[in-house]
Amino acid sequence: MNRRHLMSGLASSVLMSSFPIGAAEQVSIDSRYERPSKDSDEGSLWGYMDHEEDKLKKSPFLIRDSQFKNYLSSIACKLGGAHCPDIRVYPLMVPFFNANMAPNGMMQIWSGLMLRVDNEAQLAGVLGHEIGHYLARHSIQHLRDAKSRSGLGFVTGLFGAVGAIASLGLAAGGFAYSRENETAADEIGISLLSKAGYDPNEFANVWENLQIEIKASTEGENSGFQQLFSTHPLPKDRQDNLRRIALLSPGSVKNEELWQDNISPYLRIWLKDEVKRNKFESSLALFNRLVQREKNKSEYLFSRGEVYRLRNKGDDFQFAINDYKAAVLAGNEPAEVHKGLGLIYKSKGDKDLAKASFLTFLAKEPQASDSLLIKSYIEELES
Amino acid sequence: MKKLIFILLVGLLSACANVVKVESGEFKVSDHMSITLSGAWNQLKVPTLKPAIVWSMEGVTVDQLLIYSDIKDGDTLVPNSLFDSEKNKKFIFHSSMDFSQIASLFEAKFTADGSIFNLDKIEPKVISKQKGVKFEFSLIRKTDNVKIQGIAYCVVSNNQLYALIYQAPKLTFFKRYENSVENMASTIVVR
Repeated sequence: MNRRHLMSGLASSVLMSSFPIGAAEQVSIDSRYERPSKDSDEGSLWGYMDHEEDKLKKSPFLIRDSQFKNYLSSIACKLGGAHCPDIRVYPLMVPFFNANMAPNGMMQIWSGLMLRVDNEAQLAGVLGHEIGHYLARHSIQHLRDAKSRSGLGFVTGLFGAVGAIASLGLAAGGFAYSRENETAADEIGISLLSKAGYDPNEFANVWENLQIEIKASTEGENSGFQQLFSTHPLPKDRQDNLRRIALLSPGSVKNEELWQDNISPYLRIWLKDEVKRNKFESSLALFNRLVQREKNKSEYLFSRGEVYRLRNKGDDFQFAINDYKAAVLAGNEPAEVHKGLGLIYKSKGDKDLAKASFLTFLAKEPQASDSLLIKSYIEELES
Repeated sequence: MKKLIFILLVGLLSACANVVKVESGEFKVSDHMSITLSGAWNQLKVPTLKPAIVWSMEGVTVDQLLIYSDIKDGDTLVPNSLFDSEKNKKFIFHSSMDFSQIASLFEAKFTADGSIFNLDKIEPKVISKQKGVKFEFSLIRKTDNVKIQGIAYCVVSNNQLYALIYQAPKLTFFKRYENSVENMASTIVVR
């Protein structure tokens, strides 16, 4: 079936359990893939990915929370159908927007992505897209394409045969797919999303939200997104296409509250990691959106205040004070709100306000790693 | 792929780097900063590592001592890259920064690749008879998952930043050289 025909007919085919991905190929969701022979190129790639997975299991970046991992796995399983037992989800504490799925079924979800999605449907959209690559075996296509372009000869010469599979495996793991592969994964992903009952429009929303951050970021800040967009290019027509297919596909489940409940133990850490990125403009775009979504969430207000304080351009200190104060009003604010206020007041020469803020911070966080420094600031203010 | 690039880069650096021995005694970092060494160190002479001077005991893939001197308002902490333009500058020092902001700046620099940083302790420290700061940190390096421990000494004098930052694997190496760095920090003279 021609891909254009597939797209126009997608609304009626979302409940199908197989997807055409080319002139002669079909992707089936009903039957699991058998492990390829070790002697084959695909078997070598799987073997390499198994080795990577063993390392990943020991990684200090892994979020070792079985309840949370099971929750994420359940989302992947809703999408993966019969392939569910082959999908192994690994949430990782890495503050960049990324998820990927290796040909052996290892799926990584990075915290930077989880911070940015508003609900379960949005995450499911990204996972569905990655499962789409898996179902369509795009990584092995990528490996074979590289071989046919005689890239393998070059790589083999440099690193030997094992290194060649490793480096191409990594390329496949970094997942620089062709635009055709990306479009096919979008189509499969939206179909899986819709079939699982999720609102497919939420997948389109993920990319639109990300575009806001990219537009806001300065030239020097784009590196955080290069990771994703070097491998998942998103030209305007692809984005429009995604929205068009989504609008044609049924599904209404979003599970926003469920998603927020599940990520709540990690939210403060992920927000802190985002602030640490030092990418002020894109972080502000993200935090503006989050504050807009939930106006009275102290964590979002505090994080935005932190970015203003650290950027310290023009009226930033005043914006930071406004956000810190709003965070206090919202309640359950992180103790660091008061430290942030103290540092700004100290810088502005408001000694009494600075001292009061620092004392509040120390009262709330007596064992803070910077308590000695803060105490020295108080002494300085008293002298 | 990142690991591959890291290995290639380290290989390339090792191939290009000119390592010279820095003998014990007074070492003039710049016109405004000097330190006194109780033992010898290895200095990497690689122009692309500026503005930091990089020293090591075991080799830069194991341990690194970064020495920053005369970092002016608006200067960046990262090496100049062929890909960096003026408006692409990151990790910029501002003389108005308080010590918490300076620690955050180094934290951002160390976590730019996704490494996990934890500020274990930050406290005031008199450095060269001026108000300075000492901070201890731990890091899990993204490239190889190695647990790193670090210690830093910073002072701002005449609106310029001066800093010593040492980091090494927590296992064995950090403890081996911690005292030596601590002693070196006590000899910092900023004019």
